[in-house]
Amino acid sequence: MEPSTEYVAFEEKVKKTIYIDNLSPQVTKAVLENAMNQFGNVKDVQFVPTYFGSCGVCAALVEMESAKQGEEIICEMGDSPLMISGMPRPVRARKAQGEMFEDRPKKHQRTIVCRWMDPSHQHFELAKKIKDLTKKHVAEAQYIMELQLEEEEKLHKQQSETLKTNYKKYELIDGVQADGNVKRLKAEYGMTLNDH
Amino acid sequence: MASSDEEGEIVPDFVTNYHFVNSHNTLISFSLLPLHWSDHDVENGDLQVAFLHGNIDGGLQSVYKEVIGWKLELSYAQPHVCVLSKGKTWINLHKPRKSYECHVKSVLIVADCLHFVRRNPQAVQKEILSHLMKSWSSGEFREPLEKCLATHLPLIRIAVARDKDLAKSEYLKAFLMEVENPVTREALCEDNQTLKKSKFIVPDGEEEEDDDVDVDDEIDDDSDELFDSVCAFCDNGGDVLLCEGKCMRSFHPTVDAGLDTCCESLGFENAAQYEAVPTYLCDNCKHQKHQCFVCGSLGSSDKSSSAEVFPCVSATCGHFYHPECVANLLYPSEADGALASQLKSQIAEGKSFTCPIHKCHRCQGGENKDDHELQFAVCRRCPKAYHRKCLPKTISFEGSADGTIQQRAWDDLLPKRILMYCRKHPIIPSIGTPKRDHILFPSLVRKRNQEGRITEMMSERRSNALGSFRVVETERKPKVVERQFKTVTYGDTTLEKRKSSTTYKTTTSFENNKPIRTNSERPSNILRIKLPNKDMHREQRLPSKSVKKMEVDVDSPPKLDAEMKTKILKLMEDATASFDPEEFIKEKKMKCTHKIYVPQHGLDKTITMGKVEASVKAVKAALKKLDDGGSVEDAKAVCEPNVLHQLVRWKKKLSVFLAPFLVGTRYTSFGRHFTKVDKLKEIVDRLHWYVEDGDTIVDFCCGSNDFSCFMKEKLDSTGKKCKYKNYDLITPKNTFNFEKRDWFSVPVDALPDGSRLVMGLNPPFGVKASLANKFIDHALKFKPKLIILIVPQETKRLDYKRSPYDLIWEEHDMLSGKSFYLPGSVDKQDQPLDDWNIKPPPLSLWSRADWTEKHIEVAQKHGHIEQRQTVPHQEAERVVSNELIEENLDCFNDLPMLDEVLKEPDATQRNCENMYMTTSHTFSDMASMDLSSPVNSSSNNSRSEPVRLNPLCIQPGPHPSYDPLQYANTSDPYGPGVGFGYPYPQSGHYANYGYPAC
Repeated sequence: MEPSTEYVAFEEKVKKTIYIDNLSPQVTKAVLENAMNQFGNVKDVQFVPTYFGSCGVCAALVEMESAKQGEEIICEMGDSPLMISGMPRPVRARKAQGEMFEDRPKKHQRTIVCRWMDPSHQHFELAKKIKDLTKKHVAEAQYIMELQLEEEEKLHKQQSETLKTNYKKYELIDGVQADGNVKRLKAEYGMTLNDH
Repeated sequence: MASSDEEGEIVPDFVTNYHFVNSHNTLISFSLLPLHWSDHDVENGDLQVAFLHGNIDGGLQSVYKEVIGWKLELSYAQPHVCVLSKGKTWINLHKPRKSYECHVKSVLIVADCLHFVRRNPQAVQKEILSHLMKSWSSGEFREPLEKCLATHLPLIRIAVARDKDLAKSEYLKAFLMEVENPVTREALCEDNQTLKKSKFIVPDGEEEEDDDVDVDDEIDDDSDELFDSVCAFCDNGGDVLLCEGKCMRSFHPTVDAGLDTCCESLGFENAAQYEAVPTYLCDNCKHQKHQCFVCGSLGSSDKSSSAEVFPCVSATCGHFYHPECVANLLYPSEADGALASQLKSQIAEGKSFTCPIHKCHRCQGGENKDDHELQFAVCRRCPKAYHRKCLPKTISFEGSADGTIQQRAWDDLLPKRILMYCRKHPIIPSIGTPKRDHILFPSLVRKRNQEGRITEMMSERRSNALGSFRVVETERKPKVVERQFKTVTYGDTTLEKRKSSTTYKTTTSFENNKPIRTNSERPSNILRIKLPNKDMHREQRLPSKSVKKMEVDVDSPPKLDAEMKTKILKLMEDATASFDPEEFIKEKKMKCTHKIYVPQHGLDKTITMGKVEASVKAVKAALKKLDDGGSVEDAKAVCEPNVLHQLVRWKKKLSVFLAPFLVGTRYTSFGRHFTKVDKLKEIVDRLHWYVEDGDTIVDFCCGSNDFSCFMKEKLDSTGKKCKYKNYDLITPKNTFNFEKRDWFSVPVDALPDGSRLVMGLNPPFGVKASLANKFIDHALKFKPKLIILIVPQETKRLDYKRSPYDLIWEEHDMLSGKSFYLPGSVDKQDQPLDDWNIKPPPLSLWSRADWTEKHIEVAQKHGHIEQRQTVPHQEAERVVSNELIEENLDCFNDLPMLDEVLKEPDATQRNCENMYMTTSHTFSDMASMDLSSPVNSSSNNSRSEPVRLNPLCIQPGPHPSYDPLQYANTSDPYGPGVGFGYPYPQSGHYANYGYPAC
């Protein structure tokens, strides 16, 4: 069965679209547009919910002018991490996939009907298997997500600790320089003042 | 895990791990199939049909397809090779199966080559080769390129015929010409073989040379390092882990690291384990129980409660003493008993003191590290020090061959000091040091008391002479143990420090183990150091396929929770194991070629809290000593002059490291700032008069690539035909004659002769214009006739270069005001963020000496300089047009006192913007990221506001229109490995970033 023309057009769009996640909630459409416009022409920005990620992280689908531009961006972001709005971490870019679009058209003009299935039905076992599998996938994905968040949390703690201690050091040195002690001592030692 | 809602034949987008066979099941190359250049344009192949085997879906499914053609897609960022399945769908080929690679490598190389020359029609062989070298490791790339190309001649012919971009390639043209003429072809191949070899090596060599030069420019030179970095256990250098606490000691973290000296080490299993500790505190510092350096027993050093031992106040000392012990040492004679007891009570009350290490044991003189003879030899076991000149002969630098005299002193292990063991401590020949029982760690021991409850108590653990690990007996009974220590170049490579070149492998398993323990009170409580089982963690390192999808086999129902979990954990473990953090970091490092502003190791781990605290305290103590009428020498014993230098250096490093945090709000996308379009047009309006027909305009750091476009527009309109070449590391939107390339990697022969070259324009500035200087230096290698520059004032002037250039004119005010913008960033009103420099960088035009006359003529003709004016080598008079700037300058001038203070945040901030963040900037220590924290390094000249650590509280800046929220819209470069979550390393001290200091 040939896919519908609408779907073909949609597929074209998907090719030109990149999926960006790890976005800060502060990022607005304009911000994202501008950030991406450095690399190509943004045609459309669409924020999408992140089903698995933690609440502080957003994602968006950015449609570029051409598939090539999208690829360049993905390549570029892989090379040099890009922060948008500073928080919370560098964004990630990857190719968009059709399933990421909520409003995607149907590939084939068919209708999906839900109905109860009789256990005696010949396909009952099969349907049940599929159902179980889906459930299992969800459970697995959730578990992985948990692990990952845990890992991220750990990393975050570690990094903020390092930052704090380093900042404390900085402040200590800054303090002793600011109150003129270093200068005075240098003068006493007859050293040339060369602070910077 | 979205399931698709339709069924049908699975059409894979791409296959990996593929190979092709013919109908006889022998491996064949897909290039034998008919080549489809476009839908209707099919070349016949040797083969009509082949069979594709491969994996799809991330390796989860395998595929087997009949294929009837192939094509090469060159218009994407990467060359795509697709094959046509019998069902008329195109399948993208990703990675071939390893064993199949040899069959298709040549065609893939050709594809890569075509892809490259299509984008860089002017590329010469050297460039192509260096590009190919990047994607194909040298091992894979053995054959000369021409040979590869020759084997796929038909493909190239077709490609050149069909693709007009390829037809432009000069290299391919030349190649095809050579091929048409078979006589010279052999020669060409041979020639290239040799050429290739040398050329592949040369760029590396050149780079290294460059780097050597850069080292001189590096802001931090650690030549006068103050702190020792030898292991406290075994007194040898190497990979050491520094305690952040007051003891200021270093330790070998793993047995491996201290293998040379059989160091017992801290007992970490591997690097990852101790690197995961953000701030390491040794057991002494953790529990605030330190040993008295005189009597060796532990005492509490916790000042908040009842302290028993007190640290020496000297900035670099780190030793603790009982008041009594040190007082008796300082006043050893009976007669001074009163003084001693007075000192004792003073110390106990918290008065600072300097311990006997800081006076020569013989002459009571002070230390002078800069005078060779007055350098100190310090005992590692007790508070005793001698001048080099006062060192007793019995403490020998060389052992005698028969073993009667043992080496007791070592140069080059401590910075500007001698490491020695005084006569009190008998040397054990097999380990070359005295007994290593000198360190006493307090440890928490969980013990069950009679009621069965677990109680925690402190116990003590002594270091062992040999540790408790198994010793390899390779050589029996060495009479003399050679300990060769190299100077530890401290701070340059925190982790990549060489192992000491000791050839010392032997140790007998040693009866000394017993007597050593005599001190520990309750042997039952001794904590054995956990021995690393090396094999264990090796195993985990086994490479496994990187697992992208964490899906597990599907047959079991979802209830098998525990099993599922273990499966997932296993998968994740495998994935982690297959990820090599070092490799990753190396790769990122390779990408950032400007080592000058990318300190190899990020923040110096050697700046420990203990050292900073001690130094700061020492400064104050030294001042107090002076105020109390002490001599300068006494003060120097407390705080040697180098400490002050060290403090400045530390601050510089810290501020570089913390820059995104300190100046976070001004920290923008990749740290770039571009010249505004209208300014560019102004520049173009001026510059185009100097450009001649046929010149090549090179923008070595093109940013948004507007300059060349405007130049072209202008020059085309005046009837001059020029070529253009634009380089940058980040692909801009407008790829007009753009090549994504690091300017420093552009070889001289990639561009036309210097007399046809016009170069510009706005390089990244870097710390103290260091980057700008580098860019200019590289540009000068091309000997362009004309260079136009927007660089800060402090850049090295081109008339002071080895081959001086003449300044035609210099404009100071042209780029004042809001002449720049931060790409990719918007303010509240969604307008691009403007940017300006408080001291506008001048725009200057420089000419090669032999062209100067001509250019001056042009300049005079168009009124760029006045008639008969000599070339202004002196700075032109400053014209300040912008009010804001005038104001700011005034404030500089009027308040010279403040100048020092003001310059610093300002400079930091400026440099930040001008900084080019290339790739591997690991601000991993920067937390997930507090960049939007309300750090207002103000946009006017005031000093940075106090910085808050809490990112959530936003504080308005001193400049009303620049509150952090606006700046929160900046996009920032960030380190790899930061917050990427799970599989990435926490590469704390690998943090590489090119971030400017003040």
